Amino acid sequence: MRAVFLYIIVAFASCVLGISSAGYILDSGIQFGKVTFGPWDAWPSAGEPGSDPYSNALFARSGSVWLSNTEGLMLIANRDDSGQRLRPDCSYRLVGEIPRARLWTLSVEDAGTGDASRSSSLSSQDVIWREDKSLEVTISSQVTPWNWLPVEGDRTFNVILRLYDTPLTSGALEGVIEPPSIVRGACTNAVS
Amino acid sequence: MRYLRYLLILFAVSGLVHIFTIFAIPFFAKQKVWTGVTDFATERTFTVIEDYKTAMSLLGTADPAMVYGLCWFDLDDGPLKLDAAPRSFFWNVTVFNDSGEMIYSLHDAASRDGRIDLELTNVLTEPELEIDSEPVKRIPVVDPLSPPPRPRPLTKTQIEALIEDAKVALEEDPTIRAVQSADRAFAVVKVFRAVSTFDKSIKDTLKNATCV
Repeated sequence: MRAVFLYIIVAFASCVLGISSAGYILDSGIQFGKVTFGPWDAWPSAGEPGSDPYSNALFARSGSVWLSNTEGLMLIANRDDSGQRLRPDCSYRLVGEIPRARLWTLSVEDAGTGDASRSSSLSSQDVIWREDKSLEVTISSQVTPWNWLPVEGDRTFNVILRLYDTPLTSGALEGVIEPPSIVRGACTNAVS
Repeated sequence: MRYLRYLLILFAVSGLVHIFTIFAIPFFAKQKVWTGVTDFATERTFTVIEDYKTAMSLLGTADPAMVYGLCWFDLDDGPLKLDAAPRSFFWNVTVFNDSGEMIYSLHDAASRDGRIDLELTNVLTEPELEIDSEPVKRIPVVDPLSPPPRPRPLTKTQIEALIEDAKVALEEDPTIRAVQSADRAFAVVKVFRAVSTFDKSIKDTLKNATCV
């Protein structure tokens, strides 16, 4: 009788442990298939059939259809070059070259909800390039001349760089692309 | 020692439950996007997504620089013809299966005149292939001591001729055909709008799109 009771407890604990460990791994952040370049993260195999089971579970649970590898590449930055979260009370300079693509768009979204304002986007068709063919964009809630990507709200945000029709492939990403850096400027609140 | 046995059983069963959970999530979650899409639009009817927030709620992620439209279908009911003429610098059509996995993608650069002219079939609805009456050519056994001469690489003229042939074929029949293994699927069309004032004109052109 005691053995049966112990087996029931073990079965129950196994279910709890198995399910909670799966949930914990998926909640701990999208690490599977992630490629990092400075402040930017990319998931080149997201949404592709035949990805690893953890990626499949993660993207299925998110209920999102991601930019697939054949469509393009999506880079997400939620931190600046120094590793600090992107805050709307600070201004940032996005400086550097954009990886090769027929079209790219740059937008900001709420880090929590993923919501992006329609007005908050720039593209390869409407930016002003520097003489050395590199790009400088100011990301700030304050109006600035040249390339300005406005930020709204009072919550941390992500910067999304979408490269459409790009020759970059998942197998040769590292060392091939050098996305622009994100340098923090002045902040209105003195928060570290 | 007796409790060690229970501990081992605990870890072994936990591992199995963990693996089962990971594999079960896509199975149970796959209806999420599909249900949203099928509730939003009518089958085989191209529907323009009027605003960014709706695109976000349907697709989970959306580019604010794009205008979106979609249609859903079951290829077991017959081939699908998607036809649209978005006037834009860039457009893309991506077809997803009912699990939200990408199964086909097409850019404007691959089409003639910038039109979306796509026909999708699956193995059930694909027109029967013509059977070649010629006898099957057997692959000759290669003698490793005297291998046959390597085929010569194509000359520049031959490559240009092949490209020209492909262009002529596209001129004669601009429809791009793709055979899919999926049955239930949905196509998402995204069209780049350079500035927000182009929003209405792009949506107007997409409203004439057909998905039959």
